[in-house]
Amino acid sequence: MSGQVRRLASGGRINRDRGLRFTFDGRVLEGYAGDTLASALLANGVDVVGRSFKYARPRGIVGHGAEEPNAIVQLGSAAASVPNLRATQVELYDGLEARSTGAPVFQRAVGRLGRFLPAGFYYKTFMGSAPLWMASEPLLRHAAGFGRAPTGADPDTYDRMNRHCDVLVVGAGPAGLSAALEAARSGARVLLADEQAEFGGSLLAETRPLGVDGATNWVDKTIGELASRANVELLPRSTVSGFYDHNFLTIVERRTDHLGLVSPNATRERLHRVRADQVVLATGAIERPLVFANNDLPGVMLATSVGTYVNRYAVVPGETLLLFTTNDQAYRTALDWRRAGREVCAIVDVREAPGGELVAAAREAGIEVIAGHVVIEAIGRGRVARAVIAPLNASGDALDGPTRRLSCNLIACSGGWNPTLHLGSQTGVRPRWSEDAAAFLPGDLGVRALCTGAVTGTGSLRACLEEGALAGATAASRTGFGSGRTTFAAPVIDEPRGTPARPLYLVPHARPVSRAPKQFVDYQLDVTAADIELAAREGYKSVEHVKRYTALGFGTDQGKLGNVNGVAILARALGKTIAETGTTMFRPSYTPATFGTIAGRDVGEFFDPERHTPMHTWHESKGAAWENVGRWKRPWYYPRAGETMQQAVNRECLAARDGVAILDASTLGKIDIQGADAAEFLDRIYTIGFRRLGVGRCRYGLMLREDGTIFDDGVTARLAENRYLMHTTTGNAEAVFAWLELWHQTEWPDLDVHFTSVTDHWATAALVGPRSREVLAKVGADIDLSRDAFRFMDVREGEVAGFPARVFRISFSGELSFEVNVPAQHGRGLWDALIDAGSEFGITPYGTETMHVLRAEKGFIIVGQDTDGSMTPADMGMDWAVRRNKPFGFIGDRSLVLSDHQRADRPQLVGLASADGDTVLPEGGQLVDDPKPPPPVPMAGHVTSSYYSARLSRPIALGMVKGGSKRIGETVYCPLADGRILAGTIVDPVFYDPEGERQNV
Amino acid sequence: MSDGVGVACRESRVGAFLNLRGDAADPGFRNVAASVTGVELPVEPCTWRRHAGHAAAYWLGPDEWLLAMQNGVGVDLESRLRDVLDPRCSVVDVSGAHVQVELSGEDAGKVLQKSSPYDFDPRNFGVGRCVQTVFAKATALVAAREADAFDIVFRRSYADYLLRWLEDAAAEYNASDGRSP
Repeated sequence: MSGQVRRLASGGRINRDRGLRFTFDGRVLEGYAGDTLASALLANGVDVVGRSFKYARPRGIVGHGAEEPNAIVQLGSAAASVPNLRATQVELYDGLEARSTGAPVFQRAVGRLGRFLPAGFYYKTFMGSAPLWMASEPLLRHAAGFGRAPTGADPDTYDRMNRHCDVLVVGAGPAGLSAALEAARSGARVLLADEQAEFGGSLLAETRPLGVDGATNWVDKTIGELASRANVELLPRSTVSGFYDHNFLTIVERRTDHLGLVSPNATRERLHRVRADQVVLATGAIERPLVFANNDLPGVMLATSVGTYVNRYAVVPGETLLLFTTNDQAYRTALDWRRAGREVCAIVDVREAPGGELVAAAREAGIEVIAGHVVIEAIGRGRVARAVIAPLNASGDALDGPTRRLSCNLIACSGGWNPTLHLGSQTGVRPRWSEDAAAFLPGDLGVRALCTGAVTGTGSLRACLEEGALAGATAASRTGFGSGRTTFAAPVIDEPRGTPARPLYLVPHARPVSRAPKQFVDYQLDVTAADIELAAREGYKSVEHVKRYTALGFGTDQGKLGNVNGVAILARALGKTIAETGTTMFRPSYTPATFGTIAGRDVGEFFDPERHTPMHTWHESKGAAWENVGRWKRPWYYPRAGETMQQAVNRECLAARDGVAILDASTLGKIDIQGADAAEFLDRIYTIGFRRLGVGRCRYGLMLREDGTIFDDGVTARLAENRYLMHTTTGNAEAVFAWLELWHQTEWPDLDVHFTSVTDHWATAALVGPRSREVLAKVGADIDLSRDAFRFMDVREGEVAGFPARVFRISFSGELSFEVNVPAQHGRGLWDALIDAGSEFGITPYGTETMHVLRAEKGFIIVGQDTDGSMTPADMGMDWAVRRNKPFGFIGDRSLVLSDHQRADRPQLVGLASADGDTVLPEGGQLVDDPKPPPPVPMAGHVTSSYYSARLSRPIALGMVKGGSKRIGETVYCPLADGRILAGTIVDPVFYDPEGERQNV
Repeated sequence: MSDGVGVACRESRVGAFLNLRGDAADPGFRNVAASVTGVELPVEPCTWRRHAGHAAAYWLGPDEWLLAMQNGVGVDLESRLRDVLDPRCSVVDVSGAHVQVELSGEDAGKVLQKSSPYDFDPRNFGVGRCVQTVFAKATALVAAREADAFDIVFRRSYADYLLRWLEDAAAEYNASDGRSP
């Protein structure tokens, strides 16, 4: 693989036997199994991986993990495309296709303008003028965006898994591994998650031995022990993305992304929803870059990242290294570089007199250490070629001597460490600044979460291992496992004595910040030190405001690199300390998550459950059109070949009026109510009385809210002295059940009454029409069906078609009707028997549309269609269903006398007859008194239900009209959106059989 | 499980389901219920009892139980119980309301983890425990029958949805629906 010009001949954790071919921006390149896309790109000598957001400057890879701001790529194309992935976190696979994100043509055009765009430019220019913003926003959005949305439906599958554990350890670096090990040994249930494919974190690039082992051997042994324990679960490739209240955390596990883009037979990503008793955050730290002029040139990288590429991936991302550091640890990178046989041009150390053992080692290796100096500027076209260095003054805010130039093509920077405290911050706990650590550290997370290792500012590897073990033991003991003491013996590690670091957040330049070449703080959103100073000069004092004004930390990387430098620069500009200035907070997700992961399996057929009645497959076989009622699938109508919906509904309506028709009414809510106080309870819940209802009799009731408005309605039957069966509307079944429990449990616990939902237990076939009795007789019922023995509003128990049944003589159509209930397991059997027995009578199945027409012909309301939550019984002309003189009263009773409820001009239920006798008024249509009124137009009411009545051969409608009950015979108008104005006459809401004779036949 | 089957899901035949309400503190009530149904009512929350080949009683609440009777045992049970129980108790035949399936196999617990936020780990949910909980976008009663075998009771109207859900969730564990040979 000769293309891999920057691959070392040996070493690293890559598999050289497995070469992989991939493309980047159309170029065919090669890498190895074990590479990330970033390490493979670097191995191939790819310097420029993208253009910057605002200035379109060429950018190269800076980091090696979640912090990477520049190498943001889009994988694949069309529907399977994935935008905004960090190349440093993309595992290489054969055939991977990647593009740098953004639209280079637009970016360059806008980018040329970018140099004239100061901080707050968008606010100042575009958003200050609404028309300009409206016009320019789409162009700017297109020009500035990261990545592109996929063009089709996602072909992959995602799901969720719930997990519970005693101890969740976040991060499998040195501290996390030792924490997990100690917790596991105590017997606690341990879950260990790490975002990388391999556990080990920084140990995977560690060159020092741990005791007698190589670092990776220690990792292997530790993982081996963890994996062998039944109480431990290991989740590699899993990013703990969110830390929410009550120790609820989300983990995004990437299960197939390392295999290829589309995995139709497997779950691509799984969202683990974790309830952890204890959380150990061993999230480590991310190196802090240094802010100097042109520090965004490709070839400027984090020192740790350079070391990681060399040691873990056997990649040298350049030839001549210049190390620019504020601390001792970064010297390892120069030593690693030298060990890899590459040239180190110099180590530029901010400190006056660095003197630690690593410094000595570097000098011993013949590396020039230039103390008390800084790199003030990088120079090069498309890549670093030279560094300009100069001595720094004692206070660190100005240069203290002449500049000189050094030739190098890689500048490794180390400005110290930023603990990865995002997860703790997500819980709302504000990080605190530590002057000792020169870093923000996690705040106090309480007694159910611990931070350990580098995230707490610990620098020493041995200390990380020991602290991790103690954290693991402590967390386990808090859940009742182990003593909290640890027997962990950290291996002997060569820990060189060091000299203190000298933090530096902005490297001074020979020119002032505002005039110097750009000194980038946030690479991804092109925020410079000058932008932050400008914001401060313009009066922004809060770090939160400066963040929003400059876009510092706004990118997909959430400022993982730039935030602390930005805060420090702001602090200096404001003349405050960093502690006083404070930091912005972080929110989930730690790294971007796909929508697919969030949706899981709740898509397509699982998006919302369908509830089916026992007769569902019969309806299906008859080609029923469906109506969704709540979650239920109900037949809407049953079209025959060639029939329109209206023709089918007309046929069904006439069958019910003239012959016999059958409706699947199984979906009605049904609640079995038992207890010595059942009648009393019902009296308090319903407007009407139930105490004197005879056993075997039914009564219609209205249920009101406390404010006197209608909540639900239905028929309740008295089955025995202390037993009732309540029917609710289909859509309200759960709400009514909860309502009953609420009042019983919180207000009237003294009443002896129990409620049991039997909605699913009973299948209901409503046999409707003048010939329904004949069908029931034919199918066989051991009930006296005669008119006098089985009256309207009676309920009888017996056998129908051989099934145990309850039959209600109730009617929602105004026709003779028998609602036959059997236990649901017999529902289909009953239905088939009734259809069979009814065939000689022309039995016609009908759906919800015909049900609506039949009830509207009778002026029966539907709660939720004719009522909207503001109607009282009087508004609906239903005072007959209200008994005001009960001893206890009922819910809503007293509210009925509210003055507003008594107004004469309240909207009231009326019938509406189309003036032309032909046009069906639109449901929802607004009604006005004057067909051509000057605005503002006073509304007279609206249409609530409207149908064509086949029986009456004309349209009928119900509506709510102000003072309507006194306006019978008057005309109202319904202006339509198309300019037509329909006229309707106000009539009585009962259109058919006003005497109610037909249901008693 | 055998033949590489990770999770099996099969419908259980239950003769009758009854919902029983009464005072758990009243030994008379418990004795009468036990003598008629053949199974003792569990009083410890979230537990269930069974009488092999006869009946199972699931704790649903401090004063509420679900009785699952084997075929043939449940006939007329509602009226037989009503005859002997104190009128302050409630007994309702809900045989039609429920569908019961048995989910078994070494990965059965993982299917439950995909379906419900409850902790089904044996440490928390050993044999003899039961819980009413969120299940996918519906609800269910889940009972630990034996190691790696669970009874799940859900509402009949959700059966199509939940059976498809379970099949989908179990697919990756080489599931069998119990109907295939």
